[in-house]
Amino acid sequence: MNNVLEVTGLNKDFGGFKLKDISFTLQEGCITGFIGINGAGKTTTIKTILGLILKNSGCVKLFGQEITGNDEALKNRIGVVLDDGYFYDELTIEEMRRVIAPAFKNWDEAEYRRYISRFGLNPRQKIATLSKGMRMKYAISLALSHHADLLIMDEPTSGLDPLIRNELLDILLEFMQQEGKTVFFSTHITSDLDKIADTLILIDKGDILFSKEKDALLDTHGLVKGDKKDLNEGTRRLFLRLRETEYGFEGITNEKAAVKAQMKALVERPTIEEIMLAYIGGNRR
Amino acid sequence: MKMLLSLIKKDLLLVKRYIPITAVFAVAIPLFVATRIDIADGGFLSFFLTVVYVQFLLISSLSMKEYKYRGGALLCTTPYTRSMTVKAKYLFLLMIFIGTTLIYTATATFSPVEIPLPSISTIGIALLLITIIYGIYIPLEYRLGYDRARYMTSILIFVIPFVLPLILRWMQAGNAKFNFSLSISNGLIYPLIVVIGLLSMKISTSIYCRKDL
Repeated sequence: MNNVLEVTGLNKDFGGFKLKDISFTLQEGCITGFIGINGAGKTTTIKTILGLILKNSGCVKLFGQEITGNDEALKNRIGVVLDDGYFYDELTIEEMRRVIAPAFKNWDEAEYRRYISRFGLNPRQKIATLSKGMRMKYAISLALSHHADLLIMDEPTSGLDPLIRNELLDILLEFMQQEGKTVFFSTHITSDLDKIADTLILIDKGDILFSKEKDALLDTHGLVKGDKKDLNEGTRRLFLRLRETEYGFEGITNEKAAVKAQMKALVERPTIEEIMLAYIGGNRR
Repeated sequence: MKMLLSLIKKDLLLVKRYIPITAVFAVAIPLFVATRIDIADGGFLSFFLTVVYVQFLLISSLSMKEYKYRGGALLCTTPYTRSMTVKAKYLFLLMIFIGTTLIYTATATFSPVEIPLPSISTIGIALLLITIIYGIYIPLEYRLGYDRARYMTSILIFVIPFVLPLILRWMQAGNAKFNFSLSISNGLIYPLIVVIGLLSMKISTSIYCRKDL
């Protein structure tokens, strides 16, 4: 599989917050979830990749080409949905389309009309009057109507009700059915990724903590529950995070085999959120 | 070129609400000046004030909308480049100037009060002054942001009506000098406008390209 996006040694220093040597790759045909709590650096990373925030150092390659200097051509191949849209709110849906559409060489008006009609958007409605969900659907309509190969979304599900979130995930799966498409999707709502992500990248305090295939991540980590008498200095080290109560313990491990060999505890499959919190807890200790 | 035109159209869409009121200003200012101020300047003051007010109203409205919605960030995720958005802003400014000149000319032609038609040199000097004012202001706005630059413009716009008549009277007092400057301007003024405009555009682009959006 080809690398659609390669980020190498990306640094940005805001004084109070830093992106620290961010490196990761996105592979063609995959949905990658970019996870982390609020303020972890997800939006800053995405904006730096897109050139909205200027990097201090590092390299960003899209489709094998450095983005700096080739941005006009490369941006024809990406669709972007930013947190909150960044629309000119007092324009109507149609007016905003008239601003965005001429920028793209491959703009497909029929495709755009299909999305608008599917989402029940009224072209004469002012963007300011759209609900959060409708705004998101409009942003997706604009981002997907030029046959983008890479869709980059910053917190698209944040603030949406479960029904619209589900609808959004269906749209992403539909998009992925076309050959050669890739999605990069930042969120702090990890339950969305349980359903659709192939790969997960965790960022915390501007630092990438892991970048792994979702299934491998879930297979290698375990939610361990057991009696406190199983805990000793050696077994405690097997946990990323450990919570002890009067009666027992519960913890997340990334050394499932060792836990099974050394403890008589119950090992269950953890959720992405449990793994994320375990790593973040470790990172903050 | 198509992309540049779309960006100018975007600017127009953002200020469309203010266009009728500025058109009224473009008609009312020359009529007001013609009835209240008796100054033998070939209609320069009247024309210049009209252009300054219309430019100020539309450009500051546009900057306010850009500041409020931060749509520039979304545009920069598309193939529109930062340098294109800067160019569009300067072209929009020129478009407002042309539009105002046309309205002013129509007003002067059909007005019941005598308003001199703007001559090529009147238009040239006014455009040169506008280019100098906005040639400084636009890069400053990109550098400082809308809010801080707004205070500077407000001060400037209040000062101009008081200072300009004084300057013109002073220039009229030395009549030979004034005529001399106009005859010089006919040959140099338009190349000077292009040079100042392009220089300012280059500075604005370089500032905007280094900004985090």
